[in-house]
Amino acid sequence: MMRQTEREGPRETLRTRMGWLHGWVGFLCGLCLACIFATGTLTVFDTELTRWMQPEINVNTYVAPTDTALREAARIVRSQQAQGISAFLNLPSHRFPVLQVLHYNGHEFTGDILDPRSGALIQARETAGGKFFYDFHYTLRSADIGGVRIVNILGVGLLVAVVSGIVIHLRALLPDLVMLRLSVPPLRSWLDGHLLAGVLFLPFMIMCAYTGVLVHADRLFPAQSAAAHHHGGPGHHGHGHGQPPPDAAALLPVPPLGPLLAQARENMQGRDCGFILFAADRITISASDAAGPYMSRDHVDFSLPDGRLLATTLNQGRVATTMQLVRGLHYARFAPPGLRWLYFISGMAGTAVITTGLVVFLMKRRRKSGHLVAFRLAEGVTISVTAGLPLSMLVYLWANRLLPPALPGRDMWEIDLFFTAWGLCLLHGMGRALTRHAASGWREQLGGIGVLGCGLPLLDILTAPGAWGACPSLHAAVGGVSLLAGSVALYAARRVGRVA
Amino acid sequence: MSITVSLLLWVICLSCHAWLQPGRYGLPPPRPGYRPALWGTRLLAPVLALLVTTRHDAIAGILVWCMTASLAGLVVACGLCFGPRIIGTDGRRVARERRP
Repeated sequence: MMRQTEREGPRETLRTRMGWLHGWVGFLCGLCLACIFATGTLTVFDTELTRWMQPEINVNTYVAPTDTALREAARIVRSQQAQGISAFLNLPSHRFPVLQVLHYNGHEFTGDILDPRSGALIQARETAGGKFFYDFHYTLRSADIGGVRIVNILGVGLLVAVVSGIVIHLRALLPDLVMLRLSVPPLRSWLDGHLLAGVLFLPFMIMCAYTGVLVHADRLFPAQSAAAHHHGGPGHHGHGHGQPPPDAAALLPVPPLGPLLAQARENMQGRDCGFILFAADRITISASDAAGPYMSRDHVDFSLPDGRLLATTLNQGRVATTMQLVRGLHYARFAPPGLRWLYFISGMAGTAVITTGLVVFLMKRRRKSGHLVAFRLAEGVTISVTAGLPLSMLVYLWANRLLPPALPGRDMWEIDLFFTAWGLCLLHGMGRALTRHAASGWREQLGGIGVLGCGLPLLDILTAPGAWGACPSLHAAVGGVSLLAGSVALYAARRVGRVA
Repeated sequence: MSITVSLLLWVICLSCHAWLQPGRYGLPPPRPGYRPALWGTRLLAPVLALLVTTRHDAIAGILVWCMTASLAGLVVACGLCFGPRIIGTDGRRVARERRP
């Protein structure tokens, strides 16, 4: 008996200390991590969201680009380069079956969209689309390396919270694997929800946090320059913003791209080509990110103007292959639709783990610290993160449909409206929490999600009926998810109302 | 297809897991003769799911296997939470009465 007490003493002390660590690290990092996880979840379908947000694009099935289209695209790239824009050519894929002449605007890749059959310019509305969530996910919209560094530090914080959480819950980890009780006191129910999602989606959360930190591990060190930020990221394709544009006079003409693409595919072991970079005297054709789980930057170089093969670069070796797999797992660009949906659902669950953790943290301290201003501010911020962020995301989607398609700078309008809505949610949440009406704050913001979420499919049908007809599965999926989110929010608002 | 099969197998596995701890989950205790079968199923179903998912692509298969396990856990937890319960988590009989 004595021996057992001696054995349990240090274990309980460890659990208590880990509980403190889990609570505070989890809450302080969790406020930002919830946003990072939520936007990361949407990023799984960033391309599909961009397609949804550009209903003018009438190409819905993949067709290989014709020589005419490739020639026209190369001409546009060269003309943009002559104007000092670092443009490149993104090839059509099954997810986004159009040619894109893109450049980096400091946040996202943006540019002209071309029909892969004719090379004709498609007049789609200007929007950052799903890439906005991608940019937010890993830079917090900071446009420089600071945001990436913060996200990385928070990723380490997530790993700390996860490991401390495992230590706290170790004994009941397996027996309570599928435990959810809603008929017990609210704190216990919320804790059950937090533990259920936390334990079940533990492998996914660890995988995401670990690979996410590893992908940008070099950004943790202050010596990293901003230039490296723009050139190194897998999404940046190594041709980014800040690269001096080639001299217009030195731009050599581009030969027909079709045969070069065929040769590049052959040299890259049959993998599809993803994008083409145009230097003054050479072109580089890189493998598609969707070609497999190893997200490499394998490429084939051709000289200009004759199109002679210069070199084939296949990044092999243990370290390179490991990093390619790490990137591939985190970005999930290789994933077929079914696996992509699993990533999406797991991402939602990961977000739920963090947000339920925030709520549990506040509930545990309400009795003792509920009167403190700091507590109420924390509650206000939690409301704006948990309910305000989804509300702002829906405002972003509504803005896409309601702003005039030809409005100059409408992509920035959409983003400004997103941040304005989120700022208002923060003010509203804080105002309600400071005046001791936190429940009303929850209810009103959840109600907002309900209205906007349930209304989005209707708005989509009214404003883009042709797009519904052309690509019903895409619009049904976006509408279905928003309808589900809206319904869940309305149900939650009703429950909060009952408790209040 | 492999996602559906894996999900189903994981649901079976986790249901067995819950049934092997009837007191904790408020379920009727399994007959003594059923316990080895439940143990076996709990062990075998994930192995089968792994075989099904990794048949074509090992990396994508393992991802599917892990994620369907998580999703199946949610399904089973919701089923246990909202489904009929015979015994309370404290071990007492709490057979639910369905009111009109």
